[in-house]
Amino acid sequence: MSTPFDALEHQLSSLRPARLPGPTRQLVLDKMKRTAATHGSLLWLFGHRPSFQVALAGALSVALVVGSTRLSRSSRPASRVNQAAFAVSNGLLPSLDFWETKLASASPMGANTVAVLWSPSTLTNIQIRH
Amino acid sequence: MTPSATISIWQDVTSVTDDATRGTMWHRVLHRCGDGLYLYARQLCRNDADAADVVQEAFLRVWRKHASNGVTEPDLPALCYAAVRYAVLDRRRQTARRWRREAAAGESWYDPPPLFESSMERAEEHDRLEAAIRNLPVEQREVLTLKIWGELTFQQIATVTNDSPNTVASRYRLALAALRQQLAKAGTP
Repeated sequence: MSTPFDALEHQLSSLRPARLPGPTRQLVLDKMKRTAATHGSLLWLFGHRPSFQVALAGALSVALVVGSTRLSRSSRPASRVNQAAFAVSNGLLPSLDFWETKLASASPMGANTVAVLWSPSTLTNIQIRH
Repeated sequence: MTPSATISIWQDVTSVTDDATRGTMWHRVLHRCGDGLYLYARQLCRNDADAADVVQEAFLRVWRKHASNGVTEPDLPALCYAAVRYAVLDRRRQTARRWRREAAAGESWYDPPPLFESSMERAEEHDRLEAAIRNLPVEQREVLTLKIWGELTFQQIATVTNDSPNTVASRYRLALAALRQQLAKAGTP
């Protein structure tokens, strides 16, 4: 596809386009810098990389599973005496789901990661409720 | 964690953040393609202020979308040109009525500034070339701009303009033929 330029094409390529206005160029650079600084963290820089998302999703899932397990253990009515604790921990489970969704939407992750995040805790909740 | 360790980690983070915008391929692409993008936008927009806005909007859009997804430098110019085209079409859709009104009112008095930088020694030749380029149909001028000043391949141009590579190549040949004809008529050797 890249045939050598002929005389006319050389003549044309010798024309230099008028420069992009300096303020516009500077504005673009400033906005890039400001956006990077605002997000200013490794989370933003690496948040779009699939490996980072998988690692983050894994870590969060493990944390959620462990947290849910502990909650379910503490909520198991061994003596049926502490009904209040059971009610409280059951009440906390939906809020875990809520915070999981919040966290996923606040961080720069794709819908797939949200789905990965969502699935283990949903499963755990179902298991716990059973 | 000691305060000095915290400071050192923070310095690492900020240096990585700075590197994300300074001295990277984004800087290089803006430096190398900025003028070409502006030229392209000026041919699609009705005035230069809009063209500058479009370039800014398009470049930042590409940056936001691809800043951390592993896009390579050779792919960026085509993405930026495509974003410029998309931004122009988007604007036209949004402001079609205003655009038509402004065009009708402004065409009679708006004298567009030169598309190219002029040089003293070849001013006459440059003027003739620019006049010939301005007389080309929009589709041919678009392909010519993307090929000569955008340095895109026919395949990349086809992606930008949503045409087939054959159509693009044919428009390019027609544009060169039309230019030759006009320059011959104007008496250029």
